[in-house]
Amino acid sequence: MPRKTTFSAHCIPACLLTGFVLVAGTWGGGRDAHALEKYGRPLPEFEKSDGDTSKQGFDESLIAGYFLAAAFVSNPTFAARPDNTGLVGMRYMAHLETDLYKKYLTAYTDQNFFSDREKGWIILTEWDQTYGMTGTVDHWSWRAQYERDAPLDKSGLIQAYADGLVNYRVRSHEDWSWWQKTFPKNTLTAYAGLGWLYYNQTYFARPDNTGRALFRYVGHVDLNLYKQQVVFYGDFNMFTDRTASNVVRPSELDWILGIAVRWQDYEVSFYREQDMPLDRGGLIQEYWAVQLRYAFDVQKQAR
Amino acid sequence: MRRPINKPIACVVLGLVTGCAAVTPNGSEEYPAQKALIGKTRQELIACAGTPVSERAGEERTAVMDYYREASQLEESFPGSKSSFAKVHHGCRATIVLDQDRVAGVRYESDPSSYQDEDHCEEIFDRCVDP
Repeated sequence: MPRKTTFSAHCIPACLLTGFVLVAGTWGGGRDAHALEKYGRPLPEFEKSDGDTSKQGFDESLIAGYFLAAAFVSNPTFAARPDNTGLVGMRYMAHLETDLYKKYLTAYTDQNFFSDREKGWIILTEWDQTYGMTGTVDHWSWRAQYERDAPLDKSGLIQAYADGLVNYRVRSHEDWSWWQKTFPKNTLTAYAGLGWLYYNQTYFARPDNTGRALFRYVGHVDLNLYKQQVVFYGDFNMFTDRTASNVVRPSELDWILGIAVRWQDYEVSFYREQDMPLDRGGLIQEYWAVQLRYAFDVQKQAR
Repeated sequence: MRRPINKPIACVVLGLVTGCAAVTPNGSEEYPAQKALIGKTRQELIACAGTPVSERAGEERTAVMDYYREASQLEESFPGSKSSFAKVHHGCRATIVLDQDRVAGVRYESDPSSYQDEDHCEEIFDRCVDP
């Protein structure tokens, strides 16, 4: 019997997180950044070096990204193709990005592949491609991207959209002095945002492939448990349905909770995802996964 | 039927996780590598931290060296189930002043300044701390 899911039961925590991030960030956003740490004698040349060409060019990546492989160790319902057939066994992903203008403008692409555990785990059955631009200004970040999810082992349904999204970020060490005093070694970083799928040919608004997505509400939190080497994280993504009577009411909630352990350029994480309808009963897609990620970064030479 | 969450147990678990993780092993020495650099020669510095991204002459017999470490992509991008979400690109710049060929001053500066994360500067000089 399909599980009945109500808006109030599942949306309230996500909406509260979104509101909390936005309100708390606005309240604490005017606080000055920390004073710089110094040891030894004063650094007069540094003080007047704003605009100094020797400072420029350090922080720009020529190309950076990561490769990941994830095994879906338990997967009762997470589909292996856009038409909701099969069950994912493995996931492989490559993320590449390059800074076009410092941190303000970055181009990126994701190439995401899934295999079907019902077809022997090896043969790839879905290919999700993303191409986008992103950037950051102070506490705000934005992105515009195109995504196309297609089957690989046979022809069939393709889901595609283009969206724009704006996020607001808060970070405990800059925005919440009380957190820093209480947990000086445990940074909390969170963001929440709103997106608009301004072009949507076939991207559905629920896990059972009904409706068509219009808006998305996103939120994310990272709790640094130990020196960025052990990180607990949570993520949610909600869609609304442009064919529904209320186009701002969420029709789907996708949430992820996980823990990541990092060593140098490697990360192992264990996480759970559940994608569920919010405005009616229906298919819930969920799984548990173990994921290995390897990151790289080629820096431009200082000018 | 939904299983009710045991709130007291949840609070205890959260408290243990954050409380245990907040222990500061180095006490007041927040940046041991930054302190350890003072007095090292230029040669010793390069031997343990590598070549700086830039070096220039300062006033009189001083020189200024710059190091930079960008945060890993593991911190800067979240791989959602279908596509990634970008997080803040950030790093740390360390400026070293040498006086008569010895380290006389060290400054850490987060970049951007709105994202404090000087731990990445410490990573640059990890190998400079005496065991």
